[in-house]
Amino acid sequence: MNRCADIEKSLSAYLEGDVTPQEQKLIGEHLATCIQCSKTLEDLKKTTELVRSLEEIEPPPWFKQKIMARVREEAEEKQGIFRKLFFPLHIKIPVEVFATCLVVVMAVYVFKSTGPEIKSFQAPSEKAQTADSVDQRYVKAVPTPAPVSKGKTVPDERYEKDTVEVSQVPKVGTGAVAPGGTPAAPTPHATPLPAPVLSVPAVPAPARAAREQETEMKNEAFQSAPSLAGALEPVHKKKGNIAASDTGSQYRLGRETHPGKLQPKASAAAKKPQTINITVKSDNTAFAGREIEDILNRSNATSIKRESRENIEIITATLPAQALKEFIEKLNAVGEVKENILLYNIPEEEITVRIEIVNSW
Amino acid sequence: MDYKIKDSVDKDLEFVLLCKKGNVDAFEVLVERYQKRMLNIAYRITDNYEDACEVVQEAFLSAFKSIKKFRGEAKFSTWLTGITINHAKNRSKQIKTLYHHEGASIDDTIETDSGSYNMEPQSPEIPIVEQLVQKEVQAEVQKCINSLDEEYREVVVLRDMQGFSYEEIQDILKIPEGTVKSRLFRARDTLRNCLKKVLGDL
Repeated sequence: MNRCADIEKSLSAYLEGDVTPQEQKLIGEHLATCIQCSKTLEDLKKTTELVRSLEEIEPPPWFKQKIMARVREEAEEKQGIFRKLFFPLHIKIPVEVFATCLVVVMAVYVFKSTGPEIKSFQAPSEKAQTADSVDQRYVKAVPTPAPVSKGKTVPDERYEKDTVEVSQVPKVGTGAVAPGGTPAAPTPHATPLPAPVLSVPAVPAPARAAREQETEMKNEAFQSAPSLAGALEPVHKKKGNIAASDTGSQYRLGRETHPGKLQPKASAAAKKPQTINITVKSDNTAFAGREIEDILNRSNATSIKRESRENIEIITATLPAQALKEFIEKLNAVGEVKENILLYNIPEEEITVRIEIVNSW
Repeated sequence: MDYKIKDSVDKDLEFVLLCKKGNVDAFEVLVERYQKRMLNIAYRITDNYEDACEVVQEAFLSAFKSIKKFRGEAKFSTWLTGITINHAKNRSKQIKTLYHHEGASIDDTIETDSGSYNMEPQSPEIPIVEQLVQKEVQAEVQKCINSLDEEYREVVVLRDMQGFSYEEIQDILKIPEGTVKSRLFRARDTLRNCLKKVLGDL
């Protein structure tokens, strides 16, 4: 019986042929003699048959459609997240159009936002100089009262006016023409001041016409300078027709009229020679003036004009750009030189130089 | 009843590759091909038609979601069967915990169309097999299958009903072949005893 129980356990494997040859032989021999075990084997076969004969069940109607509905829903959801944005055939074009528009808008925005920076990048030398000159004049203005002999009210007035004016400078759109010219003008008025004029900003690329007019104006101012030395009144009268009521108005006039009149020419002006203001300090202005005139002649300068006044000599001349550097070096021999232009920044063939020789004490 | 779908590997693979590219129509072909087989497997495990339908829907849905992870090491049919069996087992567990449902015991009273009767072995003189129509015999067989523990039941369903090879069952259930065999033989012995009790002489 014990043997039958063991055989029974192996019958399933025996039926599947999953026994060793020895086991198979052993079981076969036993089955031949044991009816009960043979019966069990039969039952086992029938069991498997019964299990196999179980009827298949049929899926309900529309089963596939139900499954696919859920699958498609899932697929749609997936598309909703990624594909609709990146690959989808149906809405590909809108996305691309949107992307293109975005790129264009960004490009315009970037260009516009960097534009002013570029402009201001080109401008700063002028502005900085203007600001410098303000400071210097401010500094200058403070010690004035004591040494000034005539027109005691002038310095204060000037100080006020100038400060106000200069603060307006950055607002002027055509700063390229005006601000450069404006600060140049004060120098004649500064003449009576014992404090030396430290620097005068250059006029960067003004129109030729602007330069000429400027020069004219300055000449006028220079001519009026002696009278200024006496009193301010003559100046006022002279300028009365331009509604100038004080010394500062001159500069304002210069700045206001030039941009207005000359703006249209500004583009053409870029190639025209520019004026460089140079200040030379010397013990003997008259002697230095002669010296410089001499140097200018030797440097192939043309249209040399010289004006001599008490304590100041002003020379204007036009000279070739190549000769400029050499010329300035020679000037150094005459006296202490201050020039406010960057030498490597000169594109013109001809340059107008305006040299002021002031007393160095 | 024997579903040996040989040479279907290549056909499946073609559609599986399309599915991986997001082709839903290709997946529909696979659903068409396997829905009945999966439903039968699920039904034999859950013993409930509605549950089986639900299980198969979920199984196909998870198969679709994870088709990109299907590397083709196993056949698609075995991969899908594994998913279906997992879902079916989970469903059975849920139902058990929800309704405190216990697997049918051979001692339970059985409800049939002809009234209720006890599962006590019948006297050999009145062979019940002859009295019961084919359908009723099948119901008894199913009940005996249900009385098996899950790990035995799934082996019987896969091997004896669905005709999967040992190797395929090994892939589906992720158990060694030796285990597949030992479970199968034990399951058959248990079934034989159960059926003998229910049906008397086989």
